[in-house]
Amino acid sequence: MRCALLAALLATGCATFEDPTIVLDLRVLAIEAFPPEQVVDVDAMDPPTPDELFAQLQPTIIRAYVADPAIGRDLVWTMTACILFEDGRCDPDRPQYEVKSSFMSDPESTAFGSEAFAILPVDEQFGALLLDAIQQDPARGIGGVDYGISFRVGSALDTRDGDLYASKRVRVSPRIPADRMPNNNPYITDLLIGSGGVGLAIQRRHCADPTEGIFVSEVRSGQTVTLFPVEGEDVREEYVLPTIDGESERFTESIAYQWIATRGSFSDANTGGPPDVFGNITLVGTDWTAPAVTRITDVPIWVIQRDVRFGVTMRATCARVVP
Amino acid sequence: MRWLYIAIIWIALALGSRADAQPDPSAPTPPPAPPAGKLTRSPKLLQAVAPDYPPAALAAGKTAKVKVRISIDVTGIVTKVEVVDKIGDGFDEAAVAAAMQYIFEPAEIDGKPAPITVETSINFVIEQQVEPDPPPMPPPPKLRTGPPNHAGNMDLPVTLQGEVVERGTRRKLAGVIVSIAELGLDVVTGEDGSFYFHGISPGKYQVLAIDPKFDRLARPIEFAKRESVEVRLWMRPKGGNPYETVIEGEREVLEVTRRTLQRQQLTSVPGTFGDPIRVIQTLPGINRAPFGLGLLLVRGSNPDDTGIYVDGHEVPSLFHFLGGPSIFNAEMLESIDLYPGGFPGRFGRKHGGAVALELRPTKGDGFHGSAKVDFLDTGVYVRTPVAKNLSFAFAGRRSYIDAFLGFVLPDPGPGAQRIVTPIYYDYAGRLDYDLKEDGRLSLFAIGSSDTLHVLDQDSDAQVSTDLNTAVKFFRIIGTYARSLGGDLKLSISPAFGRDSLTFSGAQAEATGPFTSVGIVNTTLSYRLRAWGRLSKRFTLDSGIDVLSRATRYDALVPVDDNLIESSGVDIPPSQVFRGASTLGLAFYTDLGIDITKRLKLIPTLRLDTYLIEGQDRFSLDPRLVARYRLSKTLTAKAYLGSFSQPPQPEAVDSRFGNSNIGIEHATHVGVGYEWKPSRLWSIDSEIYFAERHDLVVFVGNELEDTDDGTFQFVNFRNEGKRNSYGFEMMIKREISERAFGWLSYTFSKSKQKQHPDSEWIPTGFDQPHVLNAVASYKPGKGYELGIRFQLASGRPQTPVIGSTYDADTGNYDAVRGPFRSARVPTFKQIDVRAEKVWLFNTWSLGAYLDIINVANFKNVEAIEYDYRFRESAPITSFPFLPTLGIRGNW
Repeated sequence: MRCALLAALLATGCATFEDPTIVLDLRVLAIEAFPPEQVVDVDAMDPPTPDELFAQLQPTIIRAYVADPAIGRDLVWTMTACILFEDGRCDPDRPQYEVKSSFMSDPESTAFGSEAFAILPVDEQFGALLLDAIQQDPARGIGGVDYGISFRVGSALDTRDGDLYASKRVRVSPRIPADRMPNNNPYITDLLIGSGGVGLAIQRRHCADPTEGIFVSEVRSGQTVTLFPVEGEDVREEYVLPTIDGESERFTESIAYQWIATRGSFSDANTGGPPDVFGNITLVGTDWTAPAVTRITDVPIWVIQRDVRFGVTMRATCARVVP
Repeated sequence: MRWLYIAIIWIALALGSRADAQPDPSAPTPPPAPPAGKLTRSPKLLQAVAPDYPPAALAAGKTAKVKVRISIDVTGIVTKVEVVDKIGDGFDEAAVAAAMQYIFEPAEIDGKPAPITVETSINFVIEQQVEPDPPPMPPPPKLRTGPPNHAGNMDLPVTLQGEVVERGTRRKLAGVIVSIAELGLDVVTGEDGSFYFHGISPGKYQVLAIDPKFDRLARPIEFAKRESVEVRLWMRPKGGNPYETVIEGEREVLEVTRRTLQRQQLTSVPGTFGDPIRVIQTLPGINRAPFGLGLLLVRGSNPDDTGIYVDGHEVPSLFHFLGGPSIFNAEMLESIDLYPGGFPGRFGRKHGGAVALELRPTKGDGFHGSAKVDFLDTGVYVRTPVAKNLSFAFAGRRSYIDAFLGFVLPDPGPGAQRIVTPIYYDYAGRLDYDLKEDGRLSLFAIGSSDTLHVLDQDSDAQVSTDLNTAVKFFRIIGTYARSLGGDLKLSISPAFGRDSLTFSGAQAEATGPFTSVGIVNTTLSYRLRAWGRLSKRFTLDSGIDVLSRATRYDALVPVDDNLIESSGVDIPPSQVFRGASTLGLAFYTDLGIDITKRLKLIPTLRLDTYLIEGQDRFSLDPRLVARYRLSKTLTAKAYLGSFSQPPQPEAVDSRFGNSNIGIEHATHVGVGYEWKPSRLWSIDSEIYFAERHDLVVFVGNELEDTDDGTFQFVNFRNEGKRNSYGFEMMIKREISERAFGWLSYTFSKSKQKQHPDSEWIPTGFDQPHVLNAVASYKPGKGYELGIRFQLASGRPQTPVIGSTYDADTGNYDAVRGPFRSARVPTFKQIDVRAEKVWLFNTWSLGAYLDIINVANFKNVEAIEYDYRFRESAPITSFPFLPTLGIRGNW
């Protein structure tokens, strides 16, 4: 009745859905690109040929991280380079090609987690993709162009109808203005866990990590602890972009964090980001309440760090919950 | 001398009753067995009403004699009429309808008034009648006679005077027969309800007051010698609180379709919370707005394409937001007209439809008012004379949903979404100065405010929340109206207005920047209108319509309009000030020409000129309406016309819009008929087609080359098109004393294309079938029962067929099927209402129960999805929602 009254007065929905911060089944956690952006030198008065342009580019490494806690199974995945549509899928009317397709062991049983790894070489196919992106851009690529990586993953034993899809954009920009520098992925130096203002660095990167003597972070059943990412000093980069009137504007990155685990609950699923309404820098840590357990349980926790300019880094860790 | 064929209805006034056993010779059927007791006085017919001759029977030359049995109660009121021998061809119904309006002096049994049943016949005869020669001029009266509300010897002083007023409202009643039976004197009350008897001798008398709409009133009165008596006669409406039947003077018809709501009549439609303006949404041509929102979706047009005019001046909204009640207190309004298409020239700058609210002049007839209290809000209305010829009225309302909602809110969880609820209030005041033969001056001011109030907040949240959203509007309208002689009238009306919209939103999870926008519209408008009948053949409605509007934007937003490529850029918000000005000058003329007695043509021309952001625009809209009276009851109608609408101010902004944007255009065409087979029933039907082109559409940061080798963004273009066609029908039973209702059905298809090369798709509010049925009945003793049924096709929706995880943002993007290729399920809802009114001499009190969605249908308005679009759940409209309220009138 309460929900009905609320719906009547506020026109709100009252459905209860899964908590997005808790991974229950197959999920793509993050996709990293190295480098996330490449900047090439161009002369507007004497534009480079495609070959001259491609010669300045380096291969791009793509890493996709996956969790699949519900079922122990192997996975099959495919990475496709393409121009992404609004819904994150490849635009079927524009160039695309498969970068790599492979298998992946059950992520939960692999000591260092599981990742899909591919290298995107600067070859003819890539060149065609990049040229299409430049040609279709109304600014003829002056502001930079994006190509996409479409990542598809599913059970190795089933048909691929139920596969999950994820996408990642990678940018190639001309050095306009002259002081334009490529973006770098952000990074976390330490991930602290603690309470009452005292935190210890979590050392384990994965719950199946067999390393002897590693410090194990223990949390009591139902206890709330603070997770705090320590980011590198040079993470918040300054960058410059061209404007439509031929000038440029300078910006500073903000860093956002996304928190995910297989159990428990977070006070804030997303932290960091731009300043709040009063101009305050928003806090980057979050509180995590451990699940109620009757026996020792290892809970994987992931934090994904983003610099908004397609720079992404994922940090996996593990907390041991004791009764 | 000439011959006329007319229908004559002969009423046999000789009555046969159970008691006196004097059968009507024309009614050979023996009367029923007499009751116990002796009939000491037969009922006497005081007032007979001629029945309506059934049109079909008249046309066919049929005649009839209908024998009826009439039950008369102890007060002389007819309580029941039965047809003894059914004739058919509509005669039976016409006879019953007429006999129900008879008024008798009650019968007496054993010397006391008693109920009785009598039998009589009503004859329907078509007679060829010779129009008699005009009678000779009567000789001048020998005795001095007074006006109709005076009786007795006019040479003597008034010895009995008084007024007749309605119980509960103190409304003075004109046209009531007041008689002193013992003296055989009768008067008919004047406009102010007054009556006067001259030279009444001392003694005891019985004063009777009789009116068909009221219970018969008998009051004993005694005069002493040289005494003058003043009385007030309180008359009780039949049934306790019958519907007020508004006799509206025949308005000159200068439009093809106008659907009028009378304020007094429609405060009891179920599901509207007593709000007559909401009743508009049940009329043909209006699509259902989701979640009970007050959007006016007229014939497939966008809500912004329909103008809302108060005494000719445009206002931004009719309703408080988020499904709230109407901003305008019904007591302040005279009538509400909906023009779904082909509207007259005085309504301009819109190409959808028009809703016109006519304000109600404040009467100086004493202190009156009303108050209403219910679950959602409280409202009051008062009106009073303040000086000779000067009167004042005020209305106000305030919601208090926020005060009690906290009791039903769920407990906030960590990171819970904030719950917000609307707070609204409105006020209106009006001053009227009656200049008598020199006209009338009035000043009307209205204001409203809607804000969103944060009801619940997660105290552990790390970020601030600000949902300072507010919509306010204010108008002040001055009017001077007077007669220009004959039927011509003139009004001059300046107005000033200020509308503001502010909203802000901090992201609860701090992944996005804080934004806020404030928009303020300052409007100055002026209208000059002359209208009325020029001659027997010509009717005119012509005027000047001036609008000056300045729009100011004050926004704190991330502005990326200077960057060539802004995706993936974290732009901090910055303060942006923008302004736009529009000056519009229009001249219009509607000329009604009675070509023949049957055919009326109404050509219209409206000329609009604009100065928008320093650039001039121009539109010329010719229209033609034709009405052809096929018979006394049937009229065919057709129209064709062009309509124009200037772009919204933001679309022409030199920085964020496109300063080359032009005017939107539309063409309306339609044919239909109006059939009114009887006084109570009417059918109005129409098919229409509306074509709209040059619509301003948002094209979204299109980058264009400039002459100097740089770029510029274009956000708006005149590239949109929208077509709609359909069929509308309304079967209406007009308000009688006990019942009213209507059935409206709309079939419509509306589609649009954003770009000349894109595909036609349904518009967002396309609803092929919309049906509304409304019925209300007053069984008597102050009770009223009402029911409303709504059925509407579901709105178009784009299905979600999958999702993609965006690894750069952490969110999921929906993968959708063909755009608007699916629909939410059909909407159906039944609302009921019951009200009981207690009448006191000087005021009345009503208590009502209004239940929305009494059958608790789960009507899906939209679909919500989980974070990865894998699970879905319906967002439903109003559940079973009872509302209790009370309202008083004095």
